[in-house]
Amino acid sequence: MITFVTDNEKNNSPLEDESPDIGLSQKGQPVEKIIEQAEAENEAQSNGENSKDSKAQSVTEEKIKDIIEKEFSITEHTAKFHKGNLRNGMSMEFDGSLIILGDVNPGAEVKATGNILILGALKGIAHAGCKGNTDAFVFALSLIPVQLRIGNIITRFPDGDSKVNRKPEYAYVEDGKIYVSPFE
Amino acid sequence: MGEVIVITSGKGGVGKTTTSANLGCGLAIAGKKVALVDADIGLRNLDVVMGLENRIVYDLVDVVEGKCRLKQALIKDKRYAGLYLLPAAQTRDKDAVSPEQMQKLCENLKEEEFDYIIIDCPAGIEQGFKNAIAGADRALVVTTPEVSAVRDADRIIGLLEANELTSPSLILNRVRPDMVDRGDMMSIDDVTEILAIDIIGVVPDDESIVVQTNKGEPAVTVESSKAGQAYRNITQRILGNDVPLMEFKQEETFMNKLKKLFHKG
Repeated sequence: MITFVTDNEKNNSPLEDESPDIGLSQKGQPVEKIIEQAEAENEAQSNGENSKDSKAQSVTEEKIKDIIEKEFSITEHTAKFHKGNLRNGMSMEFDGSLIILGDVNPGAEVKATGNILILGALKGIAHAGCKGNTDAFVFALSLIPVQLRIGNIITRFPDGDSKVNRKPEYAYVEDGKIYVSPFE
Repeated sequence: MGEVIVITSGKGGVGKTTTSANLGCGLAIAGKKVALVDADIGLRNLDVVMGLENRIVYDLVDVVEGKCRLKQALIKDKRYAGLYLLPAAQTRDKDAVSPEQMQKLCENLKEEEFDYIIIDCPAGIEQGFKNAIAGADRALVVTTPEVSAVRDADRIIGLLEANELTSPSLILNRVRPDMVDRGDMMSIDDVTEILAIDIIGVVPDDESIVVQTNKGEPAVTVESSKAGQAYRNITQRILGNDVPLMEFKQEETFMNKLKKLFHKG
């Protein structure tokens, strides 16, 4: 799905005044609750089929794993720091979050399974949550990318003067669309 | 000990060869012993720009392959005593030389007591580029104020940094002050904001470059040329002298003066 977010659309967004957390909206459920949830779901399934216990257990384990991964992918993973500018043709990929102290120039690409923080200008391509995690966010002191990807959603920034945008902003996913909000 | 300077850009046609010729002449005028090395094997131009085409007997590939001695291939310039040119081969391609061979060549040139060795890098980022930067101590990146050229310069700076040429300097070529004033062309600040490296010179777009290049006499030798003045300034900066960046004031036409008068009134 490709979503175009222009300034106007942003203003029309129902989220305008709510100023949601930076993609952290689903954090912090206790583990026990998640396991309960998975077991409950699993029971409902296995009751209907009347299948064997061992199979049911392995399915439960998988589900728990799945849910834990989903729930904690934002808050609990390693981060990598990179100091220096990323120039045209350079790319950086990391299983976790990426923090870049410098600019990401046009033609450069950063990719992370978690969040991306750029303490500089983002003028290239950033792909946060590149394994499908749409809870990830992208933050930059100057967010003027060629293209922005979060999870499996791709967005292209509106054409026009890129000089206008000089404030720190972050991009996040809500209802399958990428939104950009000023960071205050 | 001499210093090896590579002139590079990534994109073609931004003025690498012109810059090499002008800086070589400029340094020679300043009394230095300079070797110009054309690393653009197969598409040599530096000899033409320098007006030395008809003197070529041996070339860079002959030296590397041991077919002649280095001194035999070096062509003495017809104007300046300390200036020499090592031309590229025209009938071969970039694969004829390896980075190790270029490194050795640069060391040999340093042993010949040259103060500056200027390497004219070919366009692109392939073998020719790798050869040209192999023996360099310092890099000058040439770009024009166009997005495509600046993008390529950015890529080149990244590659230079990866090859331990960590602080390249920038030459912004072919600037048109009138267009910058109107906001139709990238300004110096726009370019340095993206590239984030030191700027060593700004060269205005100047007809005299075309005239002088076609004549085989670099513009730096012409006192009245604006671009020549810019190259003379860059020469001074290479020599370590602090020269302020050239200011481009638009020549005031009669009409502009009139307009100003009316505005004041």
